[in-house]
Amino acid sequence: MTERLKEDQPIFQQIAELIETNIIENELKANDRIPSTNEFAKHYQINPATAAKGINLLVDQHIIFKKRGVGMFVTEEAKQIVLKKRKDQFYDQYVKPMLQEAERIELKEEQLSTWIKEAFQNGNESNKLN
Amino acid sequence: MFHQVKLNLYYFFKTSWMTILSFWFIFLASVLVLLIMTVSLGGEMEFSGFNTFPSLIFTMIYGSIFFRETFPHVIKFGLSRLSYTISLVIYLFLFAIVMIILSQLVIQFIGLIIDLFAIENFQFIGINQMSNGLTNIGEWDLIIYEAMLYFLVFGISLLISSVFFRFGFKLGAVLFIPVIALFFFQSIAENIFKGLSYLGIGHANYTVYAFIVPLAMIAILLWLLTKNASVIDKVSNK
Amino acid sequence: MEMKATNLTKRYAHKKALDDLTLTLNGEKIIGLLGKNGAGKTTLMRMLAGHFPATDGRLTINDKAPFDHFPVTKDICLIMESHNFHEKFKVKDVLNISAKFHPNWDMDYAKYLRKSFRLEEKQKVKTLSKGMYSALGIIVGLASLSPITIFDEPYIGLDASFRSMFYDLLLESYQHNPRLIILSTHLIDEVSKLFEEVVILHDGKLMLHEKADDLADKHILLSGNKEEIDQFAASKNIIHESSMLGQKTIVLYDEEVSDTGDLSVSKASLQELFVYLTKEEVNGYVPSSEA
Repeated sequence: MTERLKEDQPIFQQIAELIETNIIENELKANDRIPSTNEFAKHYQINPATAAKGINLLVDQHIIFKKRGVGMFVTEEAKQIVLKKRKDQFYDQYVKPMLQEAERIELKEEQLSTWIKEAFQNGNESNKLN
Repeated sequence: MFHQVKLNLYYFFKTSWMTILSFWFIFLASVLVLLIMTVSLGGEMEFSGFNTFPSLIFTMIYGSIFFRETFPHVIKFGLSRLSYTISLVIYLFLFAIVMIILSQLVIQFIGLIIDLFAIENFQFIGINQMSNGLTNIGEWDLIIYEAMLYFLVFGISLLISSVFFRFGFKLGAVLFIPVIALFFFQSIAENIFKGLSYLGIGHANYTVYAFIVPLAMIAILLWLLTKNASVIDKVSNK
Repeated sequence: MEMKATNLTKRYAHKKALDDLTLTLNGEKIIGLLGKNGAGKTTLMRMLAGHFPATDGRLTINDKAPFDHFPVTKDICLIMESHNFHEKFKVKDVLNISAKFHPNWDMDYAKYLRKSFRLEEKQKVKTLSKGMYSALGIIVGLASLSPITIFDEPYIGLDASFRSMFYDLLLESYQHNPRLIILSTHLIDEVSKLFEEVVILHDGKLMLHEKADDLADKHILLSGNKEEIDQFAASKNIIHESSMLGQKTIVLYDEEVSDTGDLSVSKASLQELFVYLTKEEVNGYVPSSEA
């Protein structure tokens, strides 16, 4: 978790996204303890209340649960929840801007879908190599 | 309040002990230099010194800086203005006592050297040995008188500097005009001088208790001046 | 801890520093106090520390006025840019004296801080460089552990590395001993992330008091095609706009915004927001020779 914070997005949101990304990349697994608000505050030089707000966002979505006096942990269903959320956002966040740019530079639909197919195949191959 | 007074006095002590000791050190050193010069010149030079005058000048200068050296600092530390005024009065007493003790020590020390080396053309005395012409006045009366002088001089220059601190240079000067103007009315001036005669040792009217009046006035004026005072020095605007 | 200003006014000989200010700060938080030069920040902080009385209105801390009131002021530590300490003292003296005056003083912590900032015990305040003088102020402010600790631009002359260390130390100290910390600063980009709440003063009045996290929700930065933007933002509260080559960027404040369509949505930093809210437009100076 060493990604740098961006200026054009609320910090608490970035903290939440950071944890989510760690969960879907399996860096954090179900029942793993996540860093405390104080650890986040120290690492990113942010107010502990801001870190707490980001974490609470995830608690509300049942991605994280609190154990009194022990700490905060990843729930069993965390990965599923995050994956679903990210998939829901995928069209707006990635597809839409890509299509906008494609239109701007007069890229044909066929070209675009060919690239996507190729990229998927290459990706699969490199995954196999790994 | 007791706790605050203790803190005030602690701060006063911290800011002042070096200054007071330095003065007496420099003073003693210069008297000794004079002594050596006098002795080495043989009988060609006579010297007779008097220590109360320089130490009163020191008291005056020191009193004029003492207010701005202490007031803003202790108030910034949160102490109340009343506790400051009370502590100042206590400090004035302690200051006078310390000055007397140091002044006597210096005189005794120089007297010892003069005796030891049997120096004849050098004389150095304190106010208490100045009894020529002042009959009926004991040595202790003179020592107490000297203490009262330190007390009064310190108090007056403290008061003057606090007026400038509070009102700034221009307004402060304007405020002193009526005080000075009083002396131009003959009847008032006569009464003032009559009042002062109670403070003049050797004068028929003199009584040591008369010092209570100016000291009480200084204390009350200081309290009125500091009661609502800002910590910002209006002379330097710091 | 609750600090409450009600219609607070402070007038100096030539100007009003605070003008009918009403503001409540409470809890154990790190609060950023922002404002342009002359907005009244220092005046407010000095009145909190009891340096001078108000001209008008009321200022209370836990329902008691701080002016000339030791039970209140003993719990407040204000560190200013300058004039914090008597110049003739040594660093060691300053720490010893501060220890007597601040009831919660932690001397071990003060010594640890002194070493962290590489200050020499024996050095006189007068001979300290600007940065090291600031460091001494920071040490006293942190080690005082005062329930209300106020820093007014405490890092003049301190280099970026020591400043960053100060932010670390401030957070660490706040976590160990939660207390109300008010921090006034012009280096907003550097410290904005430390704030839980933000107060902006403007011309002696309160312009804004928000939770730092809510500020992000209160504004929106939109950019896109000029016509679309103009259409979208008509009759909305625009605090900043700039356009170039048919594209336009605006910042809306305190507006409910939904359905932004094709417009790209982003957020401004606290520093940008501060500038947009308080900056006065210059009318473009034309040298007389060209007129």
